[in-house]
Amino acid sequence: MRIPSAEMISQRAFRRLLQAMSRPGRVYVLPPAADNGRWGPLLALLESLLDHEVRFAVVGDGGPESLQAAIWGRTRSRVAAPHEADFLIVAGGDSGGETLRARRGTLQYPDASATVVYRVKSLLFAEGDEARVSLRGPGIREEIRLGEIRGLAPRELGYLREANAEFPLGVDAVFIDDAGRILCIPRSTEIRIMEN
Amino acid sequence: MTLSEWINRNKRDGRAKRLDYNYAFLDEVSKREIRRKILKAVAIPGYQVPFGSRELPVARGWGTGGIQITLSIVLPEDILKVIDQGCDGSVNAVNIKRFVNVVTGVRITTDTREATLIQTRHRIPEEPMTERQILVLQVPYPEALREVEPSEAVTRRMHAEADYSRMWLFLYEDIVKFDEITIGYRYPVTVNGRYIMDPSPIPRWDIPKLHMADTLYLFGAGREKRIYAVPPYTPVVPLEFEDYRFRVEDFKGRACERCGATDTYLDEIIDDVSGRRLWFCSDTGYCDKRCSR
Repeated sequence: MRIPSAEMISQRAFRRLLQAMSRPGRVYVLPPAADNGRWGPLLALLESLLDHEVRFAVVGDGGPESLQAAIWGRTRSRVAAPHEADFLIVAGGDSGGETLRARRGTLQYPDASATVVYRVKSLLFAEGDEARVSLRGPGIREEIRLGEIRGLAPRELGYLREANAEFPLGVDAVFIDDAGRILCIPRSTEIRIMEN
Repeated sequence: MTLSEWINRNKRDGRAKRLDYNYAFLDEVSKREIRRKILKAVAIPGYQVPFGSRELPVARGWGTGGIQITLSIVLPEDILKVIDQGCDGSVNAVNIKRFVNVVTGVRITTDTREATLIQTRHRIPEEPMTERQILVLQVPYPEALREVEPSEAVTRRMHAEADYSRMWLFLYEDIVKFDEITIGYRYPVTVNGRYIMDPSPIPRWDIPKLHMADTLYLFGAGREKRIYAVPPYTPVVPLEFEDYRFRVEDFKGRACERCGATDTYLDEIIDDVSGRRLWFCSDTGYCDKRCSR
């Protein structure tokens, strides 16, 4: 078997991420990574984006210190406080409110803002799941309704909604599970939390 | 070794030897920066993201923005089409696709439907594109407000404040002088109700193709160091007044001399000998396809 090089894995991972970011609310699957460890897909994704030019922070439970060391070891990206990071990695699906304090950019440079990466239990939605959230905006034909994202703290979507209330300021969210499924909610997406 | 010698060696061997360079030419640090900027561009439709445009073996202003985007996302299994003013065979397009082919090994096509990745200068293909395709546009002047304001610091503030009154005034003055908006290409559009964007020098004909499209559009300006994007299903509205509506070019009564098409964007060619005016499809791939039917 030919093991694809790290460069090819990065290139493929990014292409899927680009598809996911341009079509919010839809689930895409990352190509298989060489490293099948617990954080394999997450590290493969981060490796396509992070290096010494940007800063990251890991928050939440799920062994953040060893994850932080793994990300630093693989990418040589610098560690920063959550409110200063370019990439905020929420290891356990619960930011404890750090999402609200993440960088949102300025009106002149809205791109100088954080990308929040949530590691969640599963992005597999069962048929007949009750819709919890409705998404609208660029990349979505009309509306996408999502069920519960397993392993994501219930208030996180509310935080995202609040962080992204003043477009073009805001943060862009990527959700990833350990099977390598990804789903994105950029700041341009209008999040409506459905009351059942 | 110069790049051309390197390409020739590849040609002589009949297969791509890519070992001397990283996959897709750019180093990984450059690709990662461009990827980060592309993601922000997609998340903020119509906003110009500054990026550190890299040196390439082609001069700035010859499609380097588009090339850098293409190189940062292209996969070996992609099928690449590159066009220049709709034409697959012009010098700029041929050189770019040979270059990308040599550094990645991607297959090259002239068929819009077959392509998975299309890089283009100044046209959007006639055939409708699907959601599995990405169109990369080369952009000479990314700033739509440059006509009315020369300072980058000021246009950035104008975008920040969504202060577009001078752009509207510019269009109004055009109407006062000519009784029509006379912008033929680079027609300004509003993306997602927020940013005024330069759609690159595509003709008016192609503007409606940006609106609520199935395809992702990425724009790269290498010399001006900007990347921006229009995601699929995004409202893209040309600037217009209630009593002076946007309209596309009028080709009534004309047809392509070669394939007979009456529903495509036509180029006017003047025959040097007879002085006769002839009209041909600008999209040569589509014209070839119609001719071979």
